[in-house]
Amino acid sequence: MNGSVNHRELCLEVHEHPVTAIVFGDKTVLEGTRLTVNVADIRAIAAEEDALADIEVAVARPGEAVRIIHALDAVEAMTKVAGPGTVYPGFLGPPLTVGRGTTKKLTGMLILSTTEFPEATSGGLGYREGIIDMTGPGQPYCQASNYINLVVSYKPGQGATNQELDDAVRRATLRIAQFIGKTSVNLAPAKITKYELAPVSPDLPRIVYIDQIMSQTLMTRTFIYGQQLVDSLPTLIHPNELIDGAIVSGNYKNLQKVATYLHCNKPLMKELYRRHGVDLNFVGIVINRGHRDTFDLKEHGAQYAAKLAKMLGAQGAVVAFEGGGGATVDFMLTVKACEQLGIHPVAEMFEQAAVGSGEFPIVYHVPAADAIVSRGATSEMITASKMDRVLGGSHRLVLYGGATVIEDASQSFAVATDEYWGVNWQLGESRFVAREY
Amino acid sequence: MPTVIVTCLQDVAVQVGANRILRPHRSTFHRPFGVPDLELDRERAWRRGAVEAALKTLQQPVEGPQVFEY
Amino acid sequence: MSEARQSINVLHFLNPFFAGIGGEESNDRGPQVEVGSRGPGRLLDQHLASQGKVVATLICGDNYFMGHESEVAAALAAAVKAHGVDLVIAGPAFSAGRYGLACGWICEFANQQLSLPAVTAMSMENPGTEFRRRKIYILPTGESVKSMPEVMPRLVQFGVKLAHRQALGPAEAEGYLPRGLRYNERVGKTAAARAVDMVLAKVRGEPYQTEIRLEDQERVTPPAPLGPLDQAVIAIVTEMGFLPHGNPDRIASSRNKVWGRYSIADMNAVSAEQFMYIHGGYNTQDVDQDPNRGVPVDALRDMEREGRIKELIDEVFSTCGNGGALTEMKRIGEEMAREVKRRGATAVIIPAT
Repeated sequence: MNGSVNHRELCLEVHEHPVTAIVFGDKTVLEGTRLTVNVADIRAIAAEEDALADIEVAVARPGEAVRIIHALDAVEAMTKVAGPGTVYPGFLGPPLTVGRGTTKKLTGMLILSTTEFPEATSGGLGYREGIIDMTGPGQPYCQASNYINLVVSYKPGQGATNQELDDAVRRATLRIAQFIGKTSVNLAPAKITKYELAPVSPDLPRIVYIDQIMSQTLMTRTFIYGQQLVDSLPTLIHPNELIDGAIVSGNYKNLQKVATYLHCNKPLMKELYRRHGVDLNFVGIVINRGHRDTFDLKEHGAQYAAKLAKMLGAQGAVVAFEGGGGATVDFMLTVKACEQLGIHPVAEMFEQAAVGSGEFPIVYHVPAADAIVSRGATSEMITASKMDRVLGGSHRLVLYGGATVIEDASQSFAVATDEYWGVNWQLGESRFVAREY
Repeated sequence: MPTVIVTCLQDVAVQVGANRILRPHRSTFHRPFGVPDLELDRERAWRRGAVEAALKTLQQPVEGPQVFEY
Repeated sequence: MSEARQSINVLHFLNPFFAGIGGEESNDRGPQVEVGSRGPGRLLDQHLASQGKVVATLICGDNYFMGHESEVAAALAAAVKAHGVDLVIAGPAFSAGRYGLACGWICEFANQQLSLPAVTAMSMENPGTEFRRRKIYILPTGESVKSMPEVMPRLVQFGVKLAHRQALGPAEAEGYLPRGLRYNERVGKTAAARAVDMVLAKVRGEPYQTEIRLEDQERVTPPAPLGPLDQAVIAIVTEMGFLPHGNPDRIASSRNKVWGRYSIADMNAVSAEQFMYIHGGYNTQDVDQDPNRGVPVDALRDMEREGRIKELIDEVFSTCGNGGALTEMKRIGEEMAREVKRRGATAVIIPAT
C-alpha cells in the first residue's frame, strides 16, 4: 500500500506563528509574537448571526488567577493559504477534502467561546458545565489552560433556541478563528512542518489509530466536514484532515468533551506522526462513533472499525476512549474485534472509579484488553483556588449535574476534578497515570 | 429475593455480577420496555411479553450471571 | 497509633506447627504467648538485628482460631500491651489456607482495633489474600515452605518501614499485594507516548506491562428463584431516574447521591402528566413521552388485575445512576433493598439503561 501511492497529493505544510501576548487595539494585526485585536472586528463577525445579541472579549493567560465558566469550545486560529478547501471545511467553506497545501496557524493561543443557554436542559440533552482554571491545583485537569485564550463570551439574541444559539456560536467562533488566523498571511513562520505519510521501510510495524468519538444529540455533537456524526459507520480519515479542522466539536458533556483544538492536535495522532518512519509506520486513522444504541450495534461498529484497520494492513492498533459508561462497551468491543482479526490492540483510556475508592476502574472489559494505558482516575477532591477574575458569564456556577451551586465563582471551593473542562482527555496530556496501592 | 435486571447492555450486567439478566431485543437502552415505532396497542402487547419474560427469568434457577433473551 | 521506638518491638504470630510445638492435632490449641521468638521467628530476629527484636510470639491453632476470634483478640491485645509492641508480623502462611485466613485476621485486628502496623505473607492462591481488600499488607510468597529464607528478610524490611511510618509507594514498587486502591501520579511521558510504546512492544513480541490489571468482579450468590407467579409480590426498582414532576427529592442527573420512592397507588399506568425521567446518560425523550417504557407499570397492573401476579408494590423505588460513585450507588442499592423487603416484595424487576 505505502509503496505504491504517491504521497505528494496528501502532503500538508503547516506554518506556525507563535503568539506570546494578546492586546486590544485599533487594528487586528500580528506583529512578531504579539497579536493585537480590534474588538469591533470580532463584534462585526458575531453580528452576522441573528441568534447572537452581543459579545464581550477578554484575554486569559496561563498562570493568571482567572477562572473561565460556561465554556463551550476552544478553537485554533488558522487559515489555509494554499491547497483545496478551507480550514474547518463544511463550516467555513464547502466540504472539500482538506489536509493538503499549506495552512498557517497561530500557536500558543486559542479562541475560546462561552455562552449561557437560554432554555433549561436535562438528561441526555443536558449541558454539563465544566470550568477552566488558568492557575492553581485545578489547572492540569483542564483543556485549554496551557494556552493564551482569547475568550469570546456570547450573549444570546431574543428568542434564540438552544440549538440556534449553539450553531450560531460555533459558526461565529470558527469565523473569528479564521479571521485571526489570517493575520499571519504575509508573515514568515517561526516553524514549518511537513505532514505526510511518506512510504517507509516495510520492516517497520504498521500501526493504526482507532479514535472513538462521541456524538449523540444536541449538546453532545461532533461534526465531520460540517455534518453531525450520528449513526454513521466507522470510517477512515487522514491525520492531515484533522489538522485542518475536519472534525469540530459541539460536545458540551464536560467530562467527555474533546475541544476542537484537541481534535486538530490529537495526541495519539501527533505521536504516531512524529515516529512515522522512525520506529513505526503510521497507516492512518479509523474513527468510530461510540454510544451506539444496542449491544448488537456496538458490536457491529466495533467489528467494522477493526475491519477497516485490517484493510489498512495494521499490525497494531492504539484504540482511544471517549465517552461515558455505556460507551465503554463500544470501546472494549473494538479492542476485542482487533484482537480477533490479529491486530494487537492497546486500549488508551481514563479510569472510571474515583481516586482511592477501591472500586474497579473500568465499567466493562474484555479479556483482549490486556494492554491498557491509563490516563489516570478522573475523580479526586481538590481545592480550587481563589481567582481574581471570572470570565464567561455571571458569577453563579452550577456543578455536579445541578446539585451544587457556587454563588461566587471566583472563590476557592472543594471540587471534584471531574468538574474541570475536558478532564478525561487532559489527564493523559498532563502526564497522569494511576497506580495501585 | 430474586431480582432481574432488564437491560440492553447485558455484558455490563454480567460483569458487575448481576445473576438474572433479561435482554430485550427490540428496545434500546433509552427505553428498555418501549418500542416507540410500534403502534400503541402493539407496543403495549410487546411490553406485556417483556414483563412476562422478566417474571419467567425470576423463576429460573441460576448458578451465576445468566442472560435470558426476549 | 503510638510512636515507634528506635528499636522496634515485634510480635510474631504463628500456628503451632510453624512454632515447632506439634503436628495436625495441635491445630486445636488455643492462644498462648511465649516471650521472644519461636521457630522461624528466629530468622526475623536475625534480619531485624539492631533495628528491633521479636519480643513475643502469639501461637494459636488454625482450627481453634475460626470461631474463637474474640479469645485470640484478647490474647493479642494483652500481649501487645504487656510487651510494648510496635509491629505485628503474621506467618508466613505460604499455601496453608486456614493459617492464611488467621494471619489476615490478626493483621486486620492489629490495624483497626490496636492501631498497630502489621504485615503478613502468603502465596497468591491462599484464600487469606482476600484480606488485602480490607487494606492489609500482604507480601506474596511461593507455595512452598522452602522459600522461608527468602521471605523473612522481605517481611523485616517492609515491617520496619511500616513501623517507622514511612510513606509507601505503589504496591508493585514496594512488593506487597495490590489492594485495589488507585491514586494518580505524574510521570515523565504522556498517555499517548506510553500507548505507542506499548503497542510497539506488543507487535514486536516484547514484554509490556498493562497499567490496569483486569480481574473478576465480586460474585453474589444467586438468590433462590421465585415461586408461583400468582403468589408473587413484585417491586420495581430503577436507576433510570424515574420521578414525579417537580423532582421532590432533588435527584441529580449525574453523580447523584439520593433516591426516592414514588407512589403509583390507584394507577393503572404511569402517565407523562405526573412523571418524568432525569438522567444525564441517555436520551429520556421516549420514556418522558410514555413513562411505562421505562417502568412497565401498565403491564404489571394488568397482570395484578388478572390475578397473574399477586401484587405490584404501589411504590417505585428510583434513583439516577448516571456517573454515580460506586460507593454511593452501593449504599443506595442497600437502602432500597431493605425498604423493598420491608414492603413485603418477593421479587424485583430492575429496568436499567
